[in-house]
Amino acid sequence: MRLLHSGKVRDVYEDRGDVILVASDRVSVYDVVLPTLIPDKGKILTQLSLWWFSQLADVCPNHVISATDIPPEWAGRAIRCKRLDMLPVECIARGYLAGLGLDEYRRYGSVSGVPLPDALLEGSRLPEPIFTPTTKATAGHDEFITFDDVASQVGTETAGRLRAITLEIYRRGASRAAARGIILADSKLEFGYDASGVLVLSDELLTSDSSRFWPADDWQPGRRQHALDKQFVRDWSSGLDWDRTPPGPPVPDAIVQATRNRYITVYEQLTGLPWPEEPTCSSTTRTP
Amino acid sequence: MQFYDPNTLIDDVRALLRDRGIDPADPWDSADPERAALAATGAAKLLRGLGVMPAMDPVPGLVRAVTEPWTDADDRRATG
Repeated sequence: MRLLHSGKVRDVYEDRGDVILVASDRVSVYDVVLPTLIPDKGKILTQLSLWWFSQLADVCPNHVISATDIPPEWAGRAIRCKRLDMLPVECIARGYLAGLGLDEYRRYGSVSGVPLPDALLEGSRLPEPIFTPTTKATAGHDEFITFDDVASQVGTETAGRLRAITLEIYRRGASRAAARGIILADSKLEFGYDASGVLVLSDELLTSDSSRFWPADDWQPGRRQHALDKQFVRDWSSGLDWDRTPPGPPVPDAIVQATRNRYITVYEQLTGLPWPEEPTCSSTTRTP
Repeated sequence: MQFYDPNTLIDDVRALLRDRGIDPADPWDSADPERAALAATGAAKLLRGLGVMPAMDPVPGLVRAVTEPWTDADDRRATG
């Protein structure tokens, strides 16, 4: 087992030619990892991702080899995955206007070359979900590219499949979420080729680290929307005298528990499954 | 199927141009966002023209994908 990279919220290991993704309980705000863990966050997001991979396996093969053939200390929070040659584009589906998509719309009236109606607001629902790919730079910012750009990069057939799969996954995810009072505003997908040259879905799937989830009963176009799971941490941190640079402040227990409960609620709402509670340690502070 | 990372090709070409006395821009660090798209698309098209599929190596490609939360949805955009 070899550690390849430790990121803000996930770590990547190599083992027997496979890749193992390990989701931590770390949480970041304003791009700063906080010194306090959210107990079980890594497990919850891993299990949610696995559930979506299973639900959507008919749409596209995925990179999951096993969620059990992993070291026992990572049980529940790690996935053994195939090594893939990763496509150099990020595939993003948007059903609502937010973030960089909103910036792009305000500048050009379109996103990734997809024209949108006038007078849309922050948080507005789009007439239909759109495919808004970006570059995938090794450094610097990702930039919006058009479908034709993607076709130039990976070929027309593959580009068409990427668009169709991305939009189908978004539609099915959004439909499932909507039936449970959750808006799936947008989502980012990653793809690669396996050793046989088959197009495979990679990374994580429809989690809050790769998607925006909003509570449907709180949705109000024309203002910033509230994140369904992380909002407690965001609201708490925005009221602090903190310059938003490292080190981040420790998170009070009440905020930790409220955030953990919200992650569990999202998991249970989306999957319809009860979260299997286990005794958790009350000591949640770490050195990031 | 052969693969090569188009980002690496961009770096390769920039180094080649420097060797030949040219001072190429860094497309990822430019005020013109179109440059990044042009460079990425151009590199990928060149590779495909050479019969090589543009794809990122498995490890750096995955590391790039999984170790950072999606920047578009980060907190600065969520809360202002």
